[in-house]
Amino acid sequence: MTVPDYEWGEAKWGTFFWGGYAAPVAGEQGYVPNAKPDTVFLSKSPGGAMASQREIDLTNQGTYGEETSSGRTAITCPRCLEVQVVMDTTGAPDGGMLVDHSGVAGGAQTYALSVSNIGAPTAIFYQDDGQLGSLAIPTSGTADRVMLLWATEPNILTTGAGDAVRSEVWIYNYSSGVFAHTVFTHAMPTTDSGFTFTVGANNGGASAFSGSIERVRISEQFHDNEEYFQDWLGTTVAPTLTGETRLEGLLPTVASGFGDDGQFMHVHAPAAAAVRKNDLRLASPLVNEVYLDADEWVQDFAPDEWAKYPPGVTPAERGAQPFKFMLPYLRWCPVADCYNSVQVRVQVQNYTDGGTIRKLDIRCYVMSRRPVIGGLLNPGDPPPSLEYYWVDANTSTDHTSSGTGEYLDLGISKLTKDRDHGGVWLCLAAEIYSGTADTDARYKIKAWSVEPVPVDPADGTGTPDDFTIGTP
Amino acid sequence: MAKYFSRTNVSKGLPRPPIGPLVGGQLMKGARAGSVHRAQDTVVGLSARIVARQSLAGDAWLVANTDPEDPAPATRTYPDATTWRTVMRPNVELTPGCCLRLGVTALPSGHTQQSDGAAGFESSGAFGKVRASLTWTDADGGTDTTTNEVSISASTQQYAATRTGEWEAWPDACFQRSALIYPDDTLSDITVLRKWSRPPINVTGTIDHLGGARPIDVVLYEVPLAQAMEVDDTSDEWVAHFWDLGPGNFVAGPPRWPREYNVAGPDGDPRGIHHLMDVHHAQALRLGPMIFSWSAWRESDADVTAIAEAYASNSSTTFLHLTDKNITAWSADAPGWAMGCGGYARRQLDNGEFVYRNGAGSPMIASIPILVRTYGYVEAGSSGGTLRLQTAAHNYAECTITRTSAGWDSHVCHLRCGLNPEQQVIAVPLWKSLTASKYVRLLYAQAYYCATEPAA
Repeated sequence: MTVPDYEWGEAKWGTFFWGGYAAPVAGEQGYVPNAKPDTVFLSKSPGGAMASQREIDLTNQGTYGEETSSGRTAITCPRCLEVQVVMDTTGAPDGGMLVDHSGVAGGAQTYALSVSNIGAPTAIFYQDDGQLGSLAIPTSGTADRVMLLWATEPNILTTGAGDAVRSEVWIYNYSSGVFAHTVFTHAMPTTDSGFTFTVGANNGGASAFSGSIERVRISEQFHDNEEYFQDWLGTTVAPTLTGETRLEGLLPTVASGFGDDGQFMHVHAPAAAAVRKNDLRLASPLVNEVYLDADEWVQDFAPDEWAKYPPGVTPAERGAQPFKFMLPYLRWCPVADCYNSVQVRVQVQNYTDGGTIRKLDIRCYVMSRRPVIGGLLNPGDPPPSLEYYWVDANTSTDHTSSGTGEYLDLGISKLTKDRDHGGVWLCLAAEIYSGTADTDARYKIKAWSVEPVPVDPADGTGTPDDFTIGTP
Repeated sequence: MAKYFSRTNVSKGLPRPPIGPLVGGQLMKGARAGSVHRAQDTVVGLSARIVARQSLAGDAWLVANTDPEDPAPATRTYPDATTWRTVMRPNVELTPGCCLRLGVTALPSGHTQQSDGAAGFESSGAFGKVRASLTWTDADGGTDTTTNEVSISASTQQYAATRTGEWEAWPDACFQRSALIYPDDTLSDITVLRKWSRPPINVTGTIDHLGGARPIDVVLYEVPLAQAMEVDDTSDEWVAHFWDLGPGNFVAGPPRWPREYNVAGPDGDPRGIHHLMDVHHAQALRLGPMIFSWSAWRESDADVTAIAEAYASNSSTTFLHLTDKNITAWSADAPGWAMGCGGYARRQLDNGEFVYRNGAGSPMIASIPILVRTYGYVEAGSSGGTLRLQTAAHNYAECTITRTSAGWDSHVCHLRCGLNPEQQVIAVPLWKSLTASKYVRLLYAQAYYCATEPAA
């Protein structure tokens, strides 16, 4: 993994465009993508030149940087410390203090993060003059680039003051590509806006870090592993989506005062915007199953009584061994009124007991009722109509009998509903395409998921073109 | 004197209040403001969350197709008629304003056996049931219990067998649901309804099979019911606005804004703009998707003579996949639980516009806080076991189990998820023992969005 080459600058709140000779990228926050609303300190050296919106440099003390009476970094929880260093992690490991916020040298700290080089290099986490935890740094060589994250958040499982805070630590060694990770709980630290913030040494300059510090960021929010990864280690390509997405709407809190009498802000408009997609707030998987020791199925899917041709599928249409519904994968699922489509994925393992590997085709049927009429009808009553859709995907890969398998993305299917019960019937069907019976073909279904994805059929992009509808 | 608001919840879609009439320069009218308040009321009514599911796993039924009295004296080949088999344990925070319901898809039930008074066994009839036996815990720690059963009709075939001809199981499969499940007096006493409306509400218990039951799929899911709040209840507990009052029989609040409603209490009148803001934040805090529920039960591995809960077991000190021990490391192809619905619960705190850099003008990934509950234990002498849920090479959360008798543990995790289910993010379960030759066992696991303190 390479280090992203970020530029540093002074984009600020309200900056609409900030750039130099290079064309800016639409939507980027100027050239300081890692200076965020919660960033209180961002620097690329212990000398402390600021690179975020808070244009307050540290005092450069040569081997370290400091800020006395550092109220901005007097943060208890939530909080995040991120430090990138280059250090020897092997023969003679580097060590010393990375970040410290304390009143006096060696005194109680709001927080302190150091590297011990007694034995293998280890990150040590302190507060209130006590050690909270430690984590071995993944080792590789004499000049390893290492990224450390220590984030705190309120512990929602707290049982008292002693575990009011949850700390999560991640360390990544770029050279080896290895992560280390730990979680611990502890009490809320004590802080003081008069404390000194020091980078690269203890308060006062002792225990200077013997490696080199490349980046430091102090934030007043908890950062999880994903944010840590996207900020420092790599970025994910934005997906192309046809279905709706939802992000919590922005609305001030009562404590902000914006909703008080005499305030200018009109709360109803942003509240209306915020609530418009709350129909997705509770959207949960209809199916999300992983099977312990998944069963091995054969081409003809046995036992016989569990298999059935789906509506519209016949040997004449598909060949000797066409799709068959598999009873163990028949599901009834309640569905809220606001969803019109589902995303289906099936994890399969396709292999052979001898002979040629065959194409395994998996379909998911979405039905308004079971495809047979169970139970009695009144004389003369027609069976209720069956509305159904299906999506499918296939693989011809030989995953071998001990292999992992692969995920088949069946795509998005329209949703129908069981009008009697307010739900939908789902069932998987499989076909091993060989033209003739093949007693050696094997497959497993090890996991599958069906999740609601509302799409707007009017926008021209949300309706997959392979829907099939019919009645048996 | 306590004053209550109440409403019934129904699933009827979310009215999307128009924004245009609410922007600056427009005349404010009650109906325009009311449309926003009303929309906040409909969110809970959209819950259809499946809080627990146990489906047929295994390639044969526990309940056989053979003559239960042949040869004489017959051996024990069927379960008895009185011992419930626990196949799933739910343990979740309920969406306030919802109750639960049990849905069962099953084939006709088979035989049961009892002692013939001598050395053998004889039939004790063909029947089967599925039940949900639940304990409800309210926000103050008070509890109540419910037990609801679904009876499955007996097979009319010889020996109460399943039909074995080609696809003959399909027309025989039946679907039945329990009555709505909620604690006693919920709909007859507003103080009780309010007790089961204030979050967090925890529901835990068991889903069990009895006798000759042959379930294909058992699902426990939320159904919108009703809710009530007392005017002095804490602002972050109001997950509905109580603007449109449902057709319940309880004390009604003012039907229209901005009518005055004088209430002497520390929180004042939960109406108007402040209430609008509070409900918005309470919904963000309290409402979110159920991600998965998992059981180690395998129908074909169960033993009719030793009705014990099923477990997965592992004594390896290096990671193995929870359900497929041939898999020893994370892979994007490995089986796991889909995380896509997590994207619907994206918070500004974790996923705001500046949290993930939007290089192309749109977000590229999401992450949410989830609570993972595991029901398992480790062998005495073990220092523990670790269940890892891994969604990418860099992104995982670890749940440590140290208890030496089966029980629940809760784990706070932050995991990557898709922006919506189209973006494939799978949480692959890997696990290991922390002590060589000592096993860790897992019976059940569940995970759901959790941004605030769950019930005790």
